[in-house]
Amino acid sequence: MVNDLITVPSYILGEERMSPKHLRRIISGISGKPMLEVHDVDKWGLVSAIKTASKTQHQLENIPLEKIIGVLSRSVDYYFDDDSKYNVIVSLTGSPITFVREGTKFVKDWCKDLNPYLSLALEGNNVYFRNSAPVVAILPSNSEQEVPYVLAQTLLSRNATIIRPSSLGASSYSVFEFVSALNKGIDKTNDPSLEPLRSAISVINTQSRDYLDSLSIDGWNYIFFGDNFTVKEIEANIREKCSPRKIISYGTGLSMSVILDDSNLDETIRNIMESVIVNVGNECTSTDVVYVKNEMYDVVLRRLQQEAEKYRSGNPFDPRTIGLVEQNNVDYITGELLKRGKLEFLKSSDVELSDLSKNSTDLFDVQPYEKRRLIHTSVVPLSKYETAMEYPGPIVSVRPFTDMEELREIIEKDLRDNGMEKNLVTSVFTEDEKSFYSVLPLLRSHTVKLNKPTHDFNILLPHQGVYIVRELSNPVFIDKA
Amino acid sequence: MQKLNTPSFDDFWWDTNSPEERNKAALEQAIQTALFAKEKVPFYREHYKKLSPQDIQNISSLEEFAVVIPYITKEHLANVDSGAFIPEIEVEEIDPNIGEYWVFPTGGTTGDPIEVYHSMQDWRGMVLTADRHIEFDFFRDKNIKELFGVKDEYTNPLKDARILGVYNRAHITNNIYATMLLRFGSEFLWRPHLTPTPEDVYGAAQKHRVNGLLATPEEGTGKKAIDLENILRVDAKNSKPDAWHLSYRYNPEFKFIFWSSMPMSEDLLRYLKEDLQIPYIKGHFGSTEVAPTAASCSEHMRDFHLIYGHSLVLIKSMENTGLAKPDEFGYTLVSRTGATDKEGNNVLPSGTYFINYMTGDGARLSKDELCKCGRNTPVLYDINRIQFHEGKAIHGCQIN
Repeated sequence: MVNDLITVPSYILGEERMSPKHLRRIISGISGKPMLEVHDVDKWGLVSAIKTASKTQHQLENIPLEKIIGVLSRSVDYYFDDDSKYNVIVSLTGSPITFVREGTKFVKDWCKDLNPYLSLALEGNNVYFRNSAPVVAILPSNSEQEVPYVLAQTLLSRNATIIRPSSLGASSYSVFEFVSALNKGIDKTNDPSLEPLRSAISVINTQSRDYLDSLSIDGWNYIFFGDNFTVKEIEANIREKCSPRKIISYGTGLSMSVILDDSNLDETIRNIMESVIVNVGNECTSTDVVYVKNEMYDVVLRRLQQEAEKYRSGNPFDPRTIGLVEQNNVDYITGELLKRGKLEFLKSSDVELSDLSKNSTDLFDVQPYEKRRLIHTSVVPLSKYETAMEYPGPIVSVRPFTDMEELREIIEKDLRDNGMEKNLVTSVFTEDEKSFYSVLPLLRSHTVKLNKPTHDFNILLPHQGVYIVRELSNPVFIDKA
Repeated sequence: MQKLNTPSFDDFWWDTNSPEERNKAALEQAIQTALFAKEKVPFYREHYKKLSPQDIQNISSLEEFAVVIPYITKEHLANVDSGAFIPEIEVEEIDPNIGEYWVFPTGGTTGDPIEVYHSMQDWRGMVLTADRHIEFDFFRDKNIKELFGVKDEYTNPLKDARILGVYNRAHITNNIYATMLLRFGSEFLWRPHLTPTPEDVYGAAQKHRVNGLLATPEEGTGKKAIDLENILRVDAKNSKPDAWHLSYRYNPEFKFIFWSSMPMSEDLLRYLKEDLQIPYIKGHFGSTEVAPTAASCSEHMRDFHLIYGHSLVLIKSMENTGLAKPDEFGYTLVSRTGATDKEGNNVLPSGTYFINYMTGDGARLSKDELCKCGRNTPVLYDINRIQFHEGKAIHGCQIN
């Protein structure tokens, strides 16, 4: 049993910021047990964060990039340096423990040695990248792994950052964990010139609806994550209030897989299913829709449905399950499938929360007898005229195409109906590389993979076509004699 | 003008002497003011016609003063010519160095604007009293002395300080502060022009490298309001390397925030104290009619010690005709009961007479007890506009 709430302060002026009582929120885990006490900021906290950022911005520009790389490399050792911290994330989100551990390790490894990434992101002969303007970053709810990815890059761009975690707890917890790790890393360096880095990040926990009004400032940079419609709305909102320097908006992925008729079906089905269930299907790289040639459609549908049976939701601490879909998302998925007449394909069941807690760590403490609806891996067949959706859960749609022209049409329709011009990633499964290249012009993805699952994330590539660190920097072109 | 036999308004006696002695002096001034008004001020001659001079002279307590002396409201002031509130006296009696009177219109938040006349003597009395409160902070308040790094001796951190007053030029707050701060050796700067934006005011603060601001805290009328909120928002996003930060944390030369007219929210106070680390934050409660009547201290940063001397503030019960008990919510009655002649003597007021003037504010008054700041005057708190509410302002002043 954990008796004490974990305190998650905001962080401004290089200091932890506790709030008066009326600005504190208790956040419960998936079992209903109160876990975090998040300290929100008031409107003056926002002003203070702005002041901190604009003051620190000028102090950061003189810190050499190598020093920041060094301090990040040290700091990341302190980020999620204890098993209990992973357990907090699992208990708050329902993400499977294996995913949380591996995903965190993945991004920590990236942070440990940033040079390969930077050599690609900031490539260019005779170009010096200087800082541009403070950054406002707004994180989505399932953003634990984006935290170091985003914050390391804003630091590397030497821009002060105001970060607003999602209103759900794991995001706030991870951001504070990063800031704490950064401060420990700075302590270790014992280098006074790095002191401004302590104020380089301000963390503003807030549930205020108009916080963005205060943070809309001419010439600043903005990074948003969210579903495509929300991101567009936020972007329009910002542009209405100020003239930003740059808006980097990450929509959701709508990740796709295309199965051509010469693919290795066993391997393809396994790869696709791994992508469908990654982090209970709530990653931007989770496969949302599979396009399959008409002739193979029935076979692929049946094989996917059979494979899906193996992957069931449950106690996220149990490695035999795929984790637990958050309750909000359960309601959303159920509602959307009902609206589209596809509810019959949803695999779900009810369990008592006490059953879910078996074999869990002591953090996963539940109310006995309370019931919870589980969503299991589900495969939804779609006709040509229906739209593929991106569900925040292990739901994959399968739709047939007759020829390449039709494939182009239905992909474009799906993108249009999801408010997107491009999707994040498309995996093409074929044994013939020539076929791959013939499909390539039809796709509208930032990244296309050949015989690799969509979630096989290559962190060295630009995410959704963007290297954050580059976008946040101002290039200065050097002309030598 | 007729002299008053009470301690000088710049004497800390008013803040530290026994409440009984202080109330006795305050009552004496109030009685003399009412007697004079009955005789020499046309409006009061009519208003008090049922009272004999003896009735007034026989008043033996502040409570009785509130009961016996009829109160006036904004309605009286609005419906009677403003000249009827000025005593019928010879100009020579009020040493008019700068015209006979300074005339200030009220803001209109409590009804139709009225004209308020302040003579030079009235002005001097108000300034001396309000300055005494500030001087007390630097002389006696250990918390404030510590913030300015002073132990025993008197310090005057306002000497040579540049304070930018951002109120409308015609507003009494700017005007009275200009005089008040001059006495401390400060330079008072007026806001850039008649209709500045918060950016203009911030620009002026940068240009003149000011050491403090005088402003209303949060007017709540949007992004164009010239208030602390908007000016500090502009400051927050303009931190160029050579910026003159309106923050002691980043700029040890910026030390003073003077505020008035609107309440100071807890959140803003925390920002000023903790984030900007401003060492001296001083609020005044007052009105165009009687100017500062109460002021904050280091212990009561959002509430106000009554400033006895030129004025008397009483809280009238909502339940009966007497005074409210300590900490009971009631109507605020304000009287102007003193002024100062050029020799420094306490004298009766010579401008607009306000006696038991019900301002329209409701408030609570604490009991008399020794505050950590060193004063033993009661504290006015929980101030709310309860009459003539026009949805625009609390307190007695409007900011243009």
